[in-house]
Amino acid sequence: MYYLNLVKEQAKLSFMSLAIYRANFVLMLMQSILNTTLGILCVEFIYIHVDSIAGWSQNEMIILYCTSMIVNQIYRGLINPNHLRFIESISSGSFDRMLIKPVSIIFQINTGSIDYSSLLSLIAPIIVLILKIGALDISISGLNVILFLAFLANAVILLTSFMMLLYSLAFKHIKVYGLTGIYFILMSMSEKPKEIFSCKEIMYAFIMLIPSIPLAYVPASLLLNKGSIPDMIAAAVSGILFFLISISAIKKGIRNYTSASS
Amino acid sequence: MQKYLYSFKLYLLTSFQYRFDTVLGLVMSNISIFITIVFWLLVYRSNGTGVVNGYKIADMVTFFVVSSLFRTFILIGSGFEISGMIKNGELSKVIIKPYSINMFLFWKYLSNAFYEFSKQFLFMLLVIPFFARYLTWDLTVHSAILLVICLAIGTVISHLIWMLLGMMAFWLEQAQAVMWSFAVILNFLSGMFIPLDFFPRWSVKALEMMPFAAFSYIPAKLYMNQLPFIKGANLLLVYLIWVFVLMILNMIVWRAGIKKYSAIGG
Repeated sequence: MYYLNLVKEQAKLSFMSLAIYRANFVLMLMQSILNTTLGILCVEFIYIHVDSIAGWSQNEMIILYCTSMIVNQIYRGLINPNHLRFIESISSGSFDRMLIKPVSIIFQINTGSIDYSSLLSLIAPIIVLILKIGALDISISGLNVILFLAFLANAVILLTSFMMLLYSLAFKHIKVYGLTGIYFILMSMSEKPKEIFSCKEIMYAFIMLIPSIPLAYVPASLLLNKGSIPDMIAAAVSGILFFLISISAIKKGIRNYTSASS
Repeated sequence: MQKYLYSFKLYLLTSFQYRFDTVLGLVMSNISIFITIVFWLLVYRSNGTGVVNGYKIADMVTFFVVSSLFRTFILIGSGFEISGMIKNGELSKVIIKPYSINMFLFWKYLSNAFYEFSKQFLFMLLVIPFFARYLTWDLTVHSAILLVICLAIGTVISHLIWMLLGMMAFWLEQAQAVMWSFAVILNFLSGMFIPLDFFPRWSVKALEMMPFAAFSYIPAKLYMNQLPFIKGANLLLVYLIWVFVLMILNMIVWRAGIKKYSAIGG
């Protein structure tokens, strides 16, 4: 209940900040919608010249892309600003203030401010997703939707844990902004079907080591009745493992942490 | 001119200071290209014919490899730097100095472009022997000359476009947010994600005449010898006209912006 109240207060403060910087909000919203639109256009332009890619039709590929966008925007809306604040706080010394607060450090690293423009820009990929599902000649059951939502949540947790694990390197190397490049690579890979990895070993490496496949491919394939039990199990295991490893990495980092300021 | 060449040399030397950043940047950008190439290999495997929209698999891989190399000459940094200077008042210190800020930023970010190009080129020299069968090499003397001229013009065009966008900070509080939106659009319309000839046929000719086609799409087509000499030369003339148009626009916007500009404090 205590943490729920904290989340409510953080949401309120973020909303008040948004009310002050309205122009920035509108511009960031436009940029996110533009990103989604141009990505979808790229897929449409490719499909002018091909019928299918690895068994994925145009509408299915767009659904995959939109799923990736949904995971991306949820992470950017809820988690990413706080992760960037975390790595900044280590180099500036303000991480000390986070340590003395009577709140879980993992909670503080992952929550704090909300980027409402990223959350609002979820509307574009969700609408396109629904339209493309309607255009497909398949029946989507309640179970498909539940599995889709469950593995979407798993994808957000997995992405959060993976990035938290990477950013825990800030305890040792201080300036780790270059690691945000891995985030962009991960999202770029998640927009593509897993069939780009023709070798099974490489494919499993991209589930368990650099988890791009569980981010969008697994939820989208479950929605489209293309999913498989091994993929689901691998995605769930990957999510749990990265969650546990990232928490352990943060705790280890804190044990070795020395303040940059007095 | 000497002062600008000196700043070019100075910033080039500075680039060599941050070695870890260099390696990290090199790895990240090449992984991105690798993912794109692997995706297109999948497209070709699925298609079965070996040709998609007139591109053989080697053509497509070559396109993305060389266009990533040529994109190092897009001087995006100058726009963000001028925008930052206007926003935080640093411009006041710069405008009293005896040099052109436009020229200074051009040479500064050109040095950065040379550095990025060199490291990317060296990396590709190391990797190319392993992927030679996926690349084409059709460069002729005529195409090479046009390519070099096109790259030079494209570099100047990118600098002028980004300076124009950066000078929006004279009027907009959140210029950088608008600039990032433009960056997405420019990347899309310059053929970064897919070659421009994959766009709807009615739009291709118009897009080729746009200044941003000179960033990487046209140079890549010249490298692959897929552009007839006359057409290439005509396009270069069009881009030269764009250079003059953008220079005039830069002057007009700069004069209007400087009149509006104010900075508090010393």
